[in-house]
Amino acid sequence: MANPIPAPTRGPRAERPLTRRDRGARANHRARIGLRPYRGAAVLARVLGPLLAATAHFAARRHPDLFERLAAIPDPTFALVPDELPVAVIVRADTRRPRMRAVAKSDLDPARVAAVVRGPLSRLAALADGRLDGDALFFSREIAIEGSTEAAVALRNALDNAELGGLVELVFPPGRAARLVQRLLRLGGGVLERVHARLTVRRTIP
Amino acid sequence: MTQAAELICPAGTPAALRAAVDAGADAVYVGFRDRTNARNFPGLNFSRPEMKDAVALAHRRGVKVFVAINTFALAGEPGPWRAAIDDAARLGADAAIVADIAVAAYAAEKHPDLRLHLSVQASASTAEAIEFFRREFGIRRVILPRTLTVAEVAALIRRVPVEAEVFLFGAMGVMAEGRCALSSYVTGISPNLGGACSPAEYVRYDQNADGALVSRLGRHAISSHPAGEPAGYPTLCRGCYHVRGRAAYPFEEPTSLNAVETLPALLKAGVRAFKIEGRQRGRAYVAEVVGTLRRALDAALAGKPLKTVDLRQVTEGHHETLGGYAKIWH
Amino acid sequence: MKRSAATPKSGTRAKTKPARAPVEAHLDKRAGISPSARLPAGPRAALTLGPLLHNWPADQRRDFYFRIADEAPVDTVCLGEVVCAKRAPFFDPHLDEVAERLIRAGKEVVFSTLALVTGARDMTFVADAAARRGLVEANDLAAVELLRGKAHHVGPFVNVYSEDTARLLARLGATRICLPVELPATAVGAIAAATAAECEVVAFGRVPLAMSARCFHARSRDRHKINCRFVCAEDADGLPVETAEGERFLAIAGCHILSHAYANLANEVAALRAAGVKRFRLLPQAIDMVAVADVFRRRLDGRIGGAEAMAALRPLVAPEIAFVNGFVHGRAGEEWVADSLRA
Repeated sequence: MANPIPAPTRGPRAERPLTRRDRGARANHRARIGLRPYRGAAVLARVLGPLLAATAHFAARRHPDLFERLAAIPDPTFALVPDELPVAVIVRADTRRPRMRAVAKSDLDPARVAAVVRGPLSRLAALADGRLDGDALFFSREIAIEGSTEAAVALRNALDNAELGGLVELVFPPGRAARLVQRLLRLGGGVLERVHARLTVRRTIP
Repeated sequence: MTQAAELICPAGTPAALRAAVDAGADAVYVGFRDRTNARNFPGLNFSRPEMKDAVALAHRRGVKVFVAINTFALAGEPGPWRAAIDDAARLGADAAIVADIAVAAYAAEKHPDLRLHLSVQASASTAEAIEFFRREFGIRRVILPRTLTVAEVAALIRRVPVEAEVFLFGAMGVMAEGRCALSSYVTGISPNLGGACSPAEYVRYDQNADGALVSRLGRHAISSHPAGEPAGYPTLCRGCYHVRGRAAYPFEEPTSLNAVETLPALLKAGVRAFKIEGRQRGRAYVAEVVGTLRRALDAALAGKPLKTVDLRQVTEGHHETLGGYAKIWH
Repeated sequence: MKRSAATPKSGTRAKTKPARAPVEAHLDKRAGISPSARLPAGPRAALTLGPLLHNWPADQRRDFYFRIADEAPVDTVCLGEVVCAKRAPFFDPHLDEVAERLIRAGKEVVFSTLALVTGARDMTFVADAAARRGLVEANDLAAVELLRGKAHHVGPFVNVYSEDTARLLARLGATRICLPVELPATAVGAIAAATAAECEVVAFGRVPLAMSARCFHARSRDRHKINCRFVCAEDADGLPVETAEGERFLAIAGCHILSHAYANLANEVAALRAAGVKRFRLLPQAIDMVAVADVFRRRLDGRIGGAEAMAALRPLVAPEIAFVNGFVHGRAGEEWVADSLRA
């Protein structure tokens, strides 16, 4: 008459399985923008690498309390997966040596991170900002979270407290330079979103 | 009708505290980052250094700080609760919010100058129970369970010589607080001892093939949200279950208290402190809710008519209720 | 087979043990308890029949208590309405008769009070109960305040989680404390050692988990407490609540929420007794409580071991109702931990 309580496990990935039509569309899409399958993602990941490493380094210096809050959970690693880019950003929120790097989405192993946060780039950025309430984003299903709820809750609380006025404030002190960079990033993000929307409009999503 | 009344606002983090202070809080309530408070969630609450800064900031702005030490000390391990009381006193908190007899006794004995407020977790809904705490530990204020009607609140205030604080807004628990073991039945972590109801470590969201999101606590399915519908946190008492073969919310729907329209009646009943629930909510919530309710309270204090307050987009489940303040709620 | 009070030889037990027994005997040994689990010498552990949480028809309830008086090896019986003051008038006429019968049968009678006091009517009800002659069990701090200075008991609905709380309540007159169901054995032992008040643990029955001013039974029929028409009378053992996936999970008893599973600490009573718990509470369910009490009495007397007690209890309870003992092991309440506690 055992009543075992399973340890919290990771939920299944949120994406539905790809149909043949999707794979065809994807191949067309890649061909159209001149990327060979996977190569583009890996290249982008490598290009972003040093930028993210620097971000992590400066973020740790400017926002030690953010990482301190995250250190409360075992294994504080997160994957942020924007819909519009072929890469995911992996954050290891270790207070001693926080690290950020990018990997191609196909190389992402959800089992190796505490939580995976998926959603449109604008929403992920808003989450990091605290411009939009993390609870509101999750419960309205604009972002999807898999894996440890404990890690997700810690992330949400840590980001909320950090009062980042935009992602750039991870690295730059608030000021004109930060605002300029932020505006450029927003512009870029907006372009990415529109391109992504145009290319996926034909895919039927349940 | 000008009388003083305090707006007591939640602050789960230093950022939320600043938001509450900026938005017009008269007092904020906070917790240490451990199991001595009833919102012991990952990444939330204040370290000792953060608490020190928080008290300094709040006092500079003329805002009081109440430290919630409202869980129950466990036999053989009084350390965390005694340390919390000691530190709250040392850091200059304006009051400690307590629920446990042992914690209240320690505070009354070791820090007789530390003001004690009786938490709703003490489940003291009668004049006699409140009198017990007043007589034994000298509590100066009681936070009333939100299950009381306005008439009952008024009657209590007439009988007990302590201040009364009532909930005005926020997530509503239907169960007698401080005496609920639902969560520990499933997870082994008690809200009364460990400070977390439906602790995040045991929460899981599973996506079905049809896009529905099922929230679980441990292995139990608590609620299911079809694709496109908003999801919720799997608090056991708000779950969707089967009773007599039919799906239902047998205990409580996901909803939130908004008792703003009873403000004039509550003021008339003698209530002098109004509490907003939500230490686990973010600073955007705090800023919006505190700002809105600040204006509502000011209007009520000035005897002006109240505008309807629509805060549904930040309430859990996007529904609101008057809760116990309306007579036929239970 | 005649059993002596001394430790039966394992050979004797082997004849009556069910097929699984050798494994359990091994587990008992591993946990440091001999298969026969001799209980420590000293005053015999007592059994309490806790207050009824369900709304049984008055004559059925009266007959139940008559049978308890005549046949059940319990030392104390709790009367009184713990869940809802509205129910009380139905049984009030029988109270004195039942109390008298129990006392004549040598049982101690204790009057339990409401667990959750909401409103003036409830408070009057509690005040009347507290003013009764005889022993009263307080289940809310309002009653504790009213009983101050008078010898009384404290029930499991009052949060006695630490030694200091127990000592304070004892100072105010508590001579017996039934501890909250959530407490792990370590805390139970620490409290029992720290206070002169007699400590009691709930050892059998649906675990009371939560309560509310709202009546869930009424709500299940789209009514409110004020116009409930006593829906709670429809369910003699509680109204089952399943998850959306069909898992048996909880049960509704008026404004209380209970576990669907029954707590069953037959395996743990020996260790708890050694830790200083002198009493065990059986919560009345709609089953043969005389037989349940008999099993626990034999267990507490050391005439049968834990495994045999479990085997005797299982057929007394409907097969779809699980046994749980997680809380006392410091785990989730709904768990079933097969290893006995270390004595």
